Amino acid sequence: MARLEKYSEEERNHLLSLSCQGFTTAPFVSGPPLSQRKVALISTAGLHLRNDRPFGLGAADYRLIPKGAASADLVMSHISTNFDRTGFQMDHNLVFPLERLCELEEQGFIGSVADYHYSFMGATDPEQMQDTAKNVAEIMKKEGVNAVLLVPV
Amino acid sequence: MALKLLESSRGPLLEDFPEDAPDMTDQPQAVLQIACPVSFGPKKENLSAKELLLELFSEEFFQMNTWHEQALSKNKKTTTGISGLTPEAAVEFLSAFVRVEIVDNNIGNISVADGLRMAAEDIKAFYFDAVSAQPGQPTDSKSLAEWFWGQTSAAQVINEVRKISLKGDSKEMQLLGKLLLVPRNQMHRFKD
Repeated sequence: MARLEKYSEEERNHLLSLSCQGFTTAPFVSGPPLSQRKVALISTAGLHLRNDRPFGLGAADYRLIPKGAASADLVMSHISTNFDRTGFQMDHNLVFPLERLCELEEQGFIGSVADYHYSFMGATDPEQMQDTAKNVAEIMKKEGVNAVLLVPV
Repeated sequence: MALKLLESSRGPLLEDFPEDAPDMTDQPQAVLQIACPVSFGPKKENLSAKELLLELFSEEFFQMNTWHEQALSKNKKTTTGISGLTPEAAVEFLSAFVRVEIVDNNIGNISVADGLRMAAEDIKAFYFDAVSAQPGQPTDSKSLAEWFWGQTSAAQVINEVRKISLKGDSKEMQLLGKLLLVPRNQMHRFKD
């Protein structure tokens, strides 16, 4: 866990000042065991393939990252200079644990890893991402994804 | 661990991850252990403060490049490249902006403001990649940030970009200068 008390005062105050959307319902569904699930990753770290277009201010779209993407092909264009990139620079699995997921697939812990994964720019207002999120959900359903690991860095 | 939550029969669930991020707050000495590997030699007294800074930035960059090549060789990857510029071109782009306070050409389809932001991020990534190749250097985010923002000419150049951006009329340049170049927790170094 990254805990608020470990942040600098400036960062802590900024995070505490952000509004947090409430929900009127609490939907919950159960599914098959993990060993039968197809798992996809969704990151908000502003990651994309090196040859893809960088994220800009207010970007509400996504970048596609295929299962076979090499770590050397991943770059991060998150808009915020406050965003700590150190972990990503050391090991991209910290913000996008694709290799770890593939290992779990090999071990049979999960059924399979999806062919396609998605990255958003986390500084954008989430409400602006609603249409894109619905679009991504539809694509994942068509692929047969039935578990998503959200990595809200 | 997180995936196991998917097998719960009841929800919604909200659980803390059992491991915390490494705590570096009790190791303040780590912040001081990174030394910029640059030896600048005698000052050039005929240069203006701005010209001197840009010269120091250039020398610093090329000396960091030695370590960046080591990092590339070791890690087989770099985290630079979001601007689409080579690191050398990113240095020149930022330097040109500081030198003449205006750059009238975009980078491809990217605006000047976005280009400056991305070039600054590329330089930071280049420096972080490079210093991580030096033997025995701390690699935690706090130490690296303290080193970069507190000790490098690159950070001073980015701060100059920030100050010039704030003189701009456009909303985009104002936003760049106010929010997108220097982190909130490092601004105390650059109060005018």
